[in-house]
Amino acid sequence: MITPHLSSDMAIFGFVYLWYLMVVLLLEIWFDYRRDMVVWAGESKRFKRFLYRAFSLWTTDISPKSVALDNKIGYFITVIGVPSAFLLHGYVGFIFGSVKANPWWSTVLMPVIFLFSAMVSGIALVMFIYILLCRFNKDAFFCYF
Amino acid sequence: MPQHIKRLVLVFMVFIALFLIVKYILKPVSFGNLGHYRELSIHENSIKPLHYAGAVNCSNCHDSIRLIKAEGFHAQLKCEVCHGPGLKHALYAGRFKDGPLQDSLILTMPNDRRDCAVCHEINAARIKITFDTINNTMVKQVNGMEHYLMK
Repeated sequence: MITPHLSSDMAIFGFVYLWYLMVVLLLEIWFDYRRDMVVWAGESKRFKRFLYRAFSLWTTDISPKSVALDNKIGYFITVIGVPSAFLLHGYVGFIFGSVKANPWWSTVLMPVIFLFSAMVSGIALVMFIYILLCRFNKDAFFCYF
Repeated sequence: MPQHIKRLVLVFMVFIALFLIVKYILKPVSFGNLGHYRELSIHENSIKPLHYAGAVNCSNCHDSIRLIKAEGFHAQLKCEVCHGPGLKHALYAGRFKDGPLQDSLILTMPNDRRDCAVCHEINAARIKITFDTINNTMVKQVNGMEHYLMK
């Protein structure tokens, strides 16, 4: 972790993961929620207020111009984020496919299998959470259907 | 540049700086002197006790057995692969020439049927090339149950 070797598959996976989690996911969520967090910081009290303040990096700029900039950056991150997601999940398959001790995993289809299983398991998780949420929260607007 | 972007860049720079500091502290002292590893690890390994004598030292005393092995199927294997590490044996067994060996100097004699299975049992992760294809070096795999190796 401290001294990654560039010929190591696992070390490169560290870079891929760092890129995806820190640059793509974190930034995208932050730009999506920054305006909301500034608003919530004004509405809540004490610890929650401090938390929202910290998450919005103690800025209060929610003018239409800066929000438009946020949306623009968020769109750009999404455009590079989708290929990055393919890279990350495909790379997991590559790592698993090169594990010599498991002959059943030794196939070039491994990245494809991982991609598709990531898609279906993600969709399944979203549906499961939707069912759970609507069981306890019948009045939410997204549970009217 | 709007203020919140400036703050964001600042936060990222702080994290990168923190990482560099942590890296500076945690990096081993002799790392990178000779290559992408600790130089001191060579010295640490060189002072570890030896266990293996080497096939040349075996044939100093057991030359007749070396000749038998050279004719057999296991000619490519070194003695200690099957008989275990024998440096102590090579150093001190000569003192017991006339009497029985001390227990700690006796090497293993893998002569059971089940000892064959250690190398020759079917293993899907091993390359499947039959015994006599390339220089007699590949390990032939057999089903241990069918060949009564597990008795």
